[in-house]
Amino acid sequence: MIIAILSGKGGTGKTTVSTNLAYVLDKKGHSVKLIDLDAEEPNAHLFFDIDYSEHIDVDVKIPKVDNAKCTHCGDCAKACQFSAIVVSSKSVLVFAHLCHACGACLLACKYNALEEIPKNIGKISLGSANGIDFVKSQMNIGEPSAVRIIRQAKKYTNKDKINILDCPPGVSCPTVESIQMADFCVLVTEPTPFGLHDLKLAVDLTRQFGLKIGIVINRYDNKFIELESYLEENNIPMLLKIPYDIKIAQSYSKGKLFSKEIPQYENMFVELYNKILEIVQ
Amino acid sequence: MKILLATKGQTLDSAIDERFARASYFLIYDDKTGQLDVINNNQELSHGAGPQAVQIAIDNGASAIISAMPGQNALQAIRAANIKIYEAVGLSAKQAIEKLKSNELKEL
Amino acid sequence: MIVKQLAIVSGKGGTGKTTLSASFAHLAKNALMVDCDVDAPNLHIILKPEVNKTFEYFGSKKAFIDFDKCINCGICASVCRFEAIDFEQNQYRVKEYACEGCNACVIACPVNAISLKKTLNGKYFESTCETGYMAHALLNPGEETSGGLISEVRKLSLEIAYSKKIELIIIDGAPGIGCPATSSIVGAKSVIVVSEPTKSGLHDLVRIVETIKHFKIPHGIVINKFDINDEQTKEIEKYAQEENLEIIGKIPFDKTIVEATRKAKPIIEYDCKSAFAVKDIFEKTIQKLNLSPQS
Repeated sequence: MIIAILSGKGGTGKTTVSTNLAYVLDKKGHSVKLIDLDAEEPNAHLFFDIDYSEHIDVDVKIPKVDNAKCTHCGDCAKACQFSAIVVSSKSVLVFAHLCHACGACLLACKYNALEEIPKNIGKISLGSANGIDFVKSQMNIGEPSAVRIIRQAKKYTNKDKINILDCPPGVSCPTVESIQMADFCVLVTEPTPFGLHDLKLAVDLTRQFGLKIGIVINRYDNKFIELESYLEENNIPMLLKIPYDIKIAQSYSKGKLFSKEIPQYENMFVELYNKILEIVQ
Repeated sequence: MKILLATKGQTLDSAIDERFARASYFLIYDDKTGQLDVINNNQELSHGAGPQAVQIAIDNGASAIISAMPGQNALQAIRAANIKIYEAVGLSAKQAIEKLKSNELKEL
Repeated sequence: MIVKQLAIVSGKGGTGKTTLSASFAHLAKNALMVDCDVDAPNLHIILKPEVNKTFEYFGSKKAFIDFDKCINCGICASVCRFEAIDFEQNQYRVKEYACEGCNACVIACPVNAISLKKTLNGKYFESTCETGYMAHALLNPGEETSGGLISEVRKLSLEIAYSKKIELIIIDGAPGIGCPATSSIVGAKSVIVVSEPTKSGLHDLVRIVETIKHFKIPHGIVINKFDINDEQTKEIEKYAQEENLEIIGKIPFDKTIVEATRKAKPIIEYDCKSAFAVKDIFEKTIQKLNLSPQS
């Protein structure tokens, strides 16, 4: 099973839910795999002692000009949709950080004057998080898109395990890539007008792809009823309310798992999983 | 010599734009013939506006650019194409051309 | 007239960027506010703008296959590096969400059956709110080119600033360190980085500072909820010292912020310790930007 954990924006507790759910399910004897797909800002590893076994470079291919063959005709620059090539009578300049590594310039070149060289855009790290199978994706700073790294990292899902995907925040391309193939999406939100606004965007996105969803409210304090009425009106299942508790914030700030630090909170993640199972089946 | 001026308006009286790559207009001025071509620079590109603007200069045969300080990408492309670049924010296109002729503009 | 742009950013969302921006809007009087978080804009929830003009944003192109011309040879799918073309229901089809509009399939198609078409990715707005003008946007869910939409919003904000003679633009930046974050800070005169004293907070802070340094823009740090973890706050201060970065101010953990957020009000409307800290940060920032006091 693949469970994607996402939220309309960052900072709502996506990683808190992912890491605690992974920890509790593992402790209860399930076979768990935690995959951090937030390649721009991976954070899940901070909550475990990770024993890395392998780092895999994610490379793309970018063009390189063979000056002997190039006629400076400019067809490559015209073909490029990302302005990553500038051709003058004196030079051909490739801007590696603008290049999407699509290969259009090679297809456009009539003189076979372009070859491709690898360029590293990030890496995927495999390891064990206190016994839990762990995958981390990380993009290099300044790269145009994390989508390819996410696509690679997703290939490490294991169908015999419970795969928990800590997805990128927001509702743009990297998130879309992350939630493809998910059996279930957990949307994490907080009980504020901001949280509700962003939640609606995330709900729209998941519905666009016909995915099964449920909500976790983080920092729940029983004071913002608009959120619950929205869920009721739209028939969206509420899975879990994590209370507003300074002890949870403190344990997060120390890089600790609150379900481990505060044992009374352990069981809520078992219940979360059971509710997900119920809906999926 | 053809000069590309990155301006706010469509005439030689318009001011040099504070942005190079995302300037409102590019004026291509030929100082031999006095001919003026106006390019409406309505770029919607998400990235790569700088290199794109330099490609426009190259494709129009400009050997000098008068504009605001270009970004790193644009500057790199300008150097590679061997185009001269002058900063002239605060002047009109006409004033900038005159100052260029009298060697009063600072080459970047 | 010179327009000065101040960007407020953070390595990730949820650190209090918008809380700070909204208060700055009220303190600055007549500053033009720009929300660059086009994926999940929030500033409008507090500033409650009235939209005057709406613009459509067609930033990206996507490939379209003309099924009448297509001979189903599959070359397009083989050249596509984004796994965006699949054979489904007897026909090669483009998966729109995966297509980056790169043009490779258009060039490769032997029967010219594919073309790039501009697609509507989102909308952006020129608005007025109680603090003055505002420029903001909303990307359609699942779209990618938010960097481009941000450029459009910022272009619009400059147009408004010049035509209405507004000296200061305050940008509520996009979170993260990617293209949207970069598009939020390019051209800014000064950047404020909002950070939190959590283990991940320092990690995120370091990454966004690296990005800002690349653009050589002066920047300083604000630590939000600094008193929830003294140890991590000290770590951030140590990092700032090593990097020679100013800590512009520290905002205490304050339940009033929770209350203000729930009511969608700027924190400075409350008489509390965090409001005091925010006002102090504002004063220091304005001094550094060398603005006339009433602007």
